[in-house]
Amino acid sequence: MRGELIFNIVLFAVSLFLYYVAGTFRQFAPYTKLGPGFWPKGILLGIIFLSGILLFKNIIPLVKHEVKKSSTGSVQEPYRLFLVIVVSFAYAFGMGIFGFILSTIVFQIVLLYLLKVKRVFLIIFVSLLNTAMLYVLFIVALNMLLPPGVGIFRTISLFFY
Amino acid sequence: MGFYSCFQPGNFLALAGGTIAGIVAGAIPGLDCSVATALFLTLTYNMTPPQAFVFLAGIYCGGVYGGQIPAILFRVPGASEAVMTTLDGYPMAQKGQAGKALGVGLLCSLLGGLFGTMILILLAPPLADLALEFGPAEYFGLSVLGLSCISSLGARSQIKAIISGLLGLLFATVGLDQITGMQRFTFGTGMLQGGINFIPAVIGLFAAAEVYNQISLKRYEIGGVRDEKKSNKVKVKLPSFSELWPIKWSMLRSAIVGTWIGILPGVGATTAAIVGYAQAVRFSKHPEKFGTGIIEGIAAPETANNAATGGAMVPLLALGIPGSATTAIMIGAFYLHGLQIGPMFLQQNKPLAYTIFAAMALANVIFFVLGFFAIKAFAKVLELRYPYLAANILAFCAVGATALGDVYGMKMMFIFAILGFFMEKYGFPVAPMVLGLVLGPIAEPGLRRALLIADYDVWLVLTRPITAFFLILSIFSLLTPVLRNLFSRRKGNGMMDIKRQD
Repeated sequence: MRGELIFNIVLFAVSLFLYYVAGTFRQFAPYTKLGPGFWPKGILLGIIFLSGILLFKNIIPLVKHEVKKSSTGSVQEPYRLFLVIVVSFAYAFGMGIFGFILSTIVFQIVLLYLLKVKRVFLIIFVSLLNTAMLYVLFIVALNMLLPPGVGIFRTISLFFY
Repeated sequence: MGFYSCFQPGNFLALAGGTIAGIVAGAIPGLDCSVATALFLTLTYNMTPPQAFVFLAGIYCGGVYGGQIPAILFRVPGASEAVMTTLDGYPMAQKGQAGKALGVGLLCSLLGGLFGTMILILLAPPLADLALEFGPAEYFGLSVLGLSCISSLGARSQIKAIISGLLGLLFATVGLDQITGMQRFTFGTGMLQGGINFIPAVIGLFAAAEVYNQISLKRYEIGGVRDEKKSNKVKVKLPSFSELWPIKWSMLRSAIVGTWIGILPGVGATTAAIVGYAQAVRFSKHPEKFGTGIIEGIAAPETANNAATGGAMVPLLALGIPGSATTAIMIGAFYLHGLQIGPMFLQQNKPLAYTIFAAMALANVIFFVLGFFAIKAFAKVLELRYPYLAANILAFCAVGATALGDVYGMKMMFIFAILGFFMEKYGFPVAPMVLGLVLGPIAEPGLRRALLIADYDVWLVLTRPITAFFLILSIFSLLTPVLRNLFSRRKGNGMMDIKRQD
């Protein structure tokens, strides 16, 4: 319940902010009535109104001390999920620096460790196998460009693609 | 003439190869038939014109079909055309009916594809003439109709479903304004200047978010998919006649809708699947069952999206106007082989045109046969323990999102994954957001252009016959769930409830 309330507050606040931003879009003479802000403002008004209703519905039970048990499943071991998300973003930012191959291998090793895979051999084997499959599919078969990284990592990547 | 040409050894090999490539591309998140078509376009340079076009036709038909395989098995739409299939396909698989879900998708894709091809062959010239009547107002009306099914997709709360749809429309405005060229909501970042790419967003909202959800529920500790499904070896099971007969009208409507939407320039199989699903919900006597894993929920979008492939070829071959992104890329093949695309193409290149017609029909048959083998290969993946599957899916999604050009796609994908995770957790369905993302770029410019043309006379825009027809249908579609709730005697009756299968 509390999580949903926070989510709705964030949604409401961000919508208000974006409505203000949409009001600052530059207008062009022929399109003053239907400028770039016309459509987004209409949508944001709808979101603000509806999220306001949701906020009201969330706050009333709290005021009346009638907190309902959440019908959605609670997150078990939230710290683990948080770490997985952090690692995901580290992968996203790291690929540009370390290149596709190295960052993908490291990402999967860390992810499998976080998901309680204990056998080191399997962690490394599966990471290498998955990366090899992605390499064959995207780079060899489909000839797609994937980030090679920078500096020495780029030099290493160029051995492969 | 057309079939004879297709069965020539070289042409048939090209057709089969293209279909296989299309299925694989369609099934891999981050790739779809348009990307595969672009990738293999240069390969066709060394082929004869018939080989080149049957190859590309195979990619198109196979690609639109292939997206449903991971959508049903892993809640990972392989391509945008399979997003609606996820809504009922995955829940059906979760109930231990993955084989039937895949069989329904396979058969309905075949039927829809053959229907679309039949329409292509029979009605190409007159259908293309009618599509020329669509202006911006009509495109706006069509997108409103597609968005109107949001209320029917309402999870535990229609308000949340509508907010989700509005968020999708809002995300679609990020980037350059189509009318004025003004940057909107980019905040000076390079990542947002090109707008929010649909494919990374969908991969994140569905695939990666689902992985996060499974992790949040500690599914990795009980062996995940393998333990739950060890007694259910996935085997494609075609639906029986008695299962399909009750939904015959829904399938026919979807086929007609899909073909028609495919004909419209600029809208393709994804929109066809969305509107096909929306119409199935609207006309169903039990709309509350959609999203829980029913046959009709798979049959409608899959019939519609494959029917759209035939429809999309109509304006391409009749007018030289692409009916979809994939057919737009196919125009490159015409130029590569020195062919003039346009209204005279059908008159001046009849043998090639009929070869393409036949190839579209045969491609559907080929993917139907191949589908059995492809599905078994994918089903094997179910035997993996979930941590390995999670690592594979996340890496695949990340690389797939990156393959579109840069790492921005991957960052966008993970951002939407987090958004999708929290949205589902707090009861906001993600399907309406996807609708908004797809239809927003059609609805907004359609409305603004229509108003500009009509000198801001709203009444003039809304009373155009075709637009008014779409808008009236949309109002019915929006109000039907509300009215059903109001008049329902049983508590909770009439509300469709799409929620994660725990």
